[in-house]
Amino acid sequence: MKAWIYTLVAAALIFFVFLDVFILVVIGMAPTMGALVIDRSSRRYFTMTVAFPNGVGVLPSAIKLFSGGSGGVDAALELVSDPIVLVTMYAAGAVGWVIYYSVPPFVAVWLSMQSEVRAAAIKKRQKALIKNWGNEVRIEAEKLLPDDVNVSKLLGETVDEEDTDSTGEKM
Amino acid sequence: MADENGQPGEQLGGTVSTQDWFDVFSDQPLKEFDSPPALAYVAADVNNAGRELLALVCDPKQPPRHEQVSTMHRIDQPGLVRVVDWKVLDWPLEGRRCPVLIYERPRGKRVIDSIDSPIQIASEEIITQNFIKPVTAALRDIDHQNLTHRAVRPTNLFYDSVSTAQATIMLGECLSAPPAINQPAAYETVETSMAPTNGRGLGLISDDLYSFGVCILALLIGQSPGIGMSDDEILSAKLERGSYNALISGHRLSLTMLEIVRGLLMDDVDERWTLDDIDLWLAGRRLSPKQQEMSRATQAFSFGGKNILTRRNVARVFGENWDSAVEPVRGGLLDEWLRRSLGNEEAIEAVNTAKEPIVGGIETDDRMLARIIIALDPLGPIRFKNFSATLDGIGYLIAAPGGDKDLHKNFSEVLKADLISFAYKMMGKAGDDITRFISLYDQMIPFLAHSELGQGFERVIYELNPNVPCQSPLLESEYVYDMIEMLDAFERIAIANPDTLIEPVDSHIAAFIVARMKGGIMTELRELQNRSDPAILAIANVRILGHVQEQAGSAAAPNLCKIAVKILDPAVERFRSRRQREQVRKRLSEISKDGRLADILRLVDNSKYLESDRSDNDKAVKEFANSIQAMQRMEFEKTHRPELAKVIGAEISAFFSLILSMIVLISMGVYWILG
Repeated sequence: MKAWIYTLVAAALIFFVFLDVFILVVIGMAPTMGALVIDRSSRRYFTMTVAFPNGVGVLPSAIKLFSGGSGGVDAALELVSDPIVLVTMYAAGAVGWVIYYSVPPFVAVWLSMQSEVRAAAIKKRQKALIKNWGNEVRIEAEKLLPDDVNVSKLLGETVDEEDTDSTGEKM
Repeated sequence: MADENGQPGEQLGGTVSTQDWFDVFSDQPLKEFDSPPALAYVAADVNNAGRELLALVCDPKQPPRHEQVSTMHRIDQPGLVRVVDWKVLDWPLEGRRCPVLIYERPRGKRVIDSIDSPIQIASEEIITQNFIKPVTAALRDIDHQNLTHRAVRPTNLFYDSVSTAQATIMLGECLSAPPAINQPAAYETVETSMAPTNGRGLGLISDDLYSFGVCILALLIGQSPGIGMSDDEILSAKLERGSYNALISGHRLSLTMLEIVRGLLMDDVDERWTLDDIDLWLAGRRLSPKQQEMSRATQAFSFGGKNILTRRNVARVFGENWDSAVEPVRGGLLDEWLRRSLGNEEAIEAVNTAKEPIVGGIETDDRMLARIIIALDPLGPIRFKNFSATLDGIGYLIAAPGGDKDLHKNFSEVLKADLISFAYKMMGKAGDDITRFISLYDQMIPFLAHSELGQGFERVIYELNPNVPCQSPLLESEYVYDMIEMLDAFERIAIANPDTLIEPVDSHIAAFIVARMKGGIMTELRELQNRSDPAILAIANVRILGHVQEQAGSAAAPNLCKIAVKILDPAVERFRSRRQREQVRKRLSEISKDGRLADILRLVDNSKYLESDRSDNDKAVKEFANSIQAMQRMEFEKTHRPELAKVIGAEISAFFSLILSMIVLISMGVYWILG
């Protein structure tokens, strides 16, 4: 809630003190505004992903607005009516959108691979533990786990295998 | 073949040879020197070939008095065959280990081969100079060493030269069997001849002097006294008429010889001649021993088909007819006979005391009868049903082979009925010497009250007999008389028959060790009762073997250690870590080669190692539980991977976007600055 108040205060300050900048930012940061509306996550990663390149895209125009002296609202409107300026700002915002939608599939693949590697490592360690301490280590470990944990299922055992486990050291 | 110390010996043909000891020739028997049950063989001193020796191979079931060998060896008298040494040897003819005594071989033959044989009559002068004088000196030395001979009889007398006419007659060996085991009744005092042969005990020098007296009589009359009579008849005659009258039986002796024979055959030990009396006699002093008076009844006491005239004989016949003896006691016939025919007030009073039940004890007819027998014959053996032994013969009797359960039970009854104390009470002044037996046998009562390992009848056997070998079936072919021999025996068994050693400590071995060892092993013995935990059982067994090794001077026993490692397998299984178990087994296998059981135990029964193993096990259990939980998390992630990828992807996207923007921003800045 406090963040919103700060944002509104900042926006009001820019609006009344730097109206030309306000116009440039409102029009130039439209992709970020769109992301902000769509983004439902608590930390607003989508908004941030779009805001960073979008801001970089708006920044040259903002500098240009200041560097020519205070051009006022007219200069701002002239800038935003320049198609090159608009394309530059919106293309930069689009980069953020592209990044946001293209990364998760790669993450999913990476997670899957990581999961397989970890599972193999855990099973190898469990085998080593049973080899050294016998099946008793598993029986004792099961006692430490909550009742709803289906150990056999997690270890990928069939019923027959479970029977074997109770007498031998097979895992 | 191994010698006493477990060192390998040699067996060349008929020669049993051991390092630094005597050669014994099993193919050269010396039958003329046999001393039943010991058999004689030629022996040779490897360092002195000219020395004439004989080896007496003893019957392991009739243990020799080996603890007296070194003391007896000190006696160097012409009147005694000298013992040289003893050792336990592998005896090929028996296929087992036997105790072997080495004696100097007498130069002459045995006086007589059989007790019934006639004896070459010699003059009184020759008997005095060549027999009485040297044997008295030998007996004096024996007495000085606090020993007794207990095998003084004509069949155990030897000439010291081939020519018998002028030869000195010497006492034969006396250590190859329990005391007095081969003594005919004629050569034993009334008291000891009433006990069975294996229950006579070491006795006193006065017992030897009595036998000596009978031997003198035998040499004088040219035959063993009482020849043609059974032992029972001889005993009856002694009890009814006194020893001198019973044995002289019509023979006439010169007044000089009559004195010494009568003096030595006195039934009253206080009246019997001593060594000093014999010395005085040898010096020419005439002592004229009193005529022995027997307290005889005016009318015989009829019992068991016999007419008995003395109270001691009544006691003997009661002991032999136990089941029917209560009747004349309960019926009053005995009291009547004591009062009317014997007229002995002291006997009447003693019997009345015997009839009074023991305070606090359970009274039975058997107990009362045992007390009455003691009251009638306080100096006789302690008798209870089939049990009969002199006070110092009890240990020999209960350790003798063939002791049945009844004998054991009856011995327990003797102790429970407090018969030894009663005998002491009945003896009056004569009982002063037996006070030590009262405390000795009282110490046996708690052992008999418990049947656990290290207690019971087995313990009593070893407590009462310092020279009895361990009677465990496991050590059947061995002769284990101390801890060194026990360790060597176990080492030999570990080589020859290792499977029998899986549970080595049985009731006999436990009792033997606890009786012989200086330190206690009661904790280990208690643990041996714990049949539910094989690890504790195994450790207790090996720990006891370790104590044996310690007592044996920590001699190395690599083969026993190898078996101990096998025995300890359940204890190794206490380590939960298989890797640790393998390491321990490997290390055990290495250190067992050094042959020290203590090292093995230090590794297996190490609380630090076990605690560390337990702690590691706890950690492993927790790690396994954590890994299951990790698997559970991974399973969850698998089912929610798109959502997760989206969340993580958003973070990564924001970060990537920031980095990219920074790069572009910096590039723009650089471009503008540069121009």
